Amino acid sequence: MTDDVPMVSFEVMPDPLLIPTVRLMLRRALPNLGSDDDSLYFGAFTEILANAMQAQAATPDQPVRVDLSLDARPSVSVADNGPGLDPQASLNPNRAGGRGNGLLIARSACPDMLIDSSASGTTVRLPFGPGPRR
Amino acid sequence: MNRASVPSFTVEAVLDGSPVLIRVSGEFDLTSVDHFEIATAPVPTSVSIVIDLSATSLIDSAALGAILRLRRDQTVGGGTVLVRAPRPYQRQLFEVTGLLHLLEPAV
Repeated sequence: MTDDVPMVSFEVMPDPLLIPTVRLMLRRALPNLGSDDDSLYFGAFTEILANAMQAQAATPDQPVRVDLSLDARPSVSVADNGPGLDPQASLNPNRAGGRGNGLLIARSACPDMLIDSSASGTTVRLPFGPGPRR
Repeated sequence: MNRASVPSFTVEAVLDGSPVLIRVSGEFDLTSVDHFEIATAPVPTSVSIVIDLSATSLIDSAALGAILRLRRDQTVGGGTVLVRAPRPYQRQLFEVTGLLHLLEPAV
């Protein structure tokens, strides 16, 4: 048994303008899924990172942490120190519209997404792989 | 797409046609919404608009919000907005957010 899974970790200040740069770093590190699945995965990542940055807005001097695990099935985790969220409320499928649907969109793209949230912060893990076929 | 390249974002408004065509390409996310709104600002609110997302490689909820705001303004002014989004990932996005009614009927 070994636990030396290759990891890449970095911290990002909560500035949304940094999101495309972070996305590019991950695109370089992860295998190509193909056009549509790539779009879904990185769309989901964009939602999660934007949510984390928004949660961190009250403490803009503290970074959001991004961990890339290059296990047999890679995954990306995004962690913030914000006030936490209510995943059930945020995943309400009856809410039509744009911003505010981030978790719903991310869950659709990454059905295996894991959310660990408390009053001291939220970590969302996005396993890397194709989303559901429609 | 070349993995080493930065996917660009462009938005082009073709104002002299009917409907007015808004072509969007690249990564349409919260960092490019401002560019979209600047490009669409000159479009009269009384006209019909087709937003062509065919060449986008990513769309997020902030982009959907910008489309909804444009549609709201057009509706108030008597115009309309339809979205051309033929790729499966695009359709999935509009479906999960309850916005399929915005899509242009398939031809």
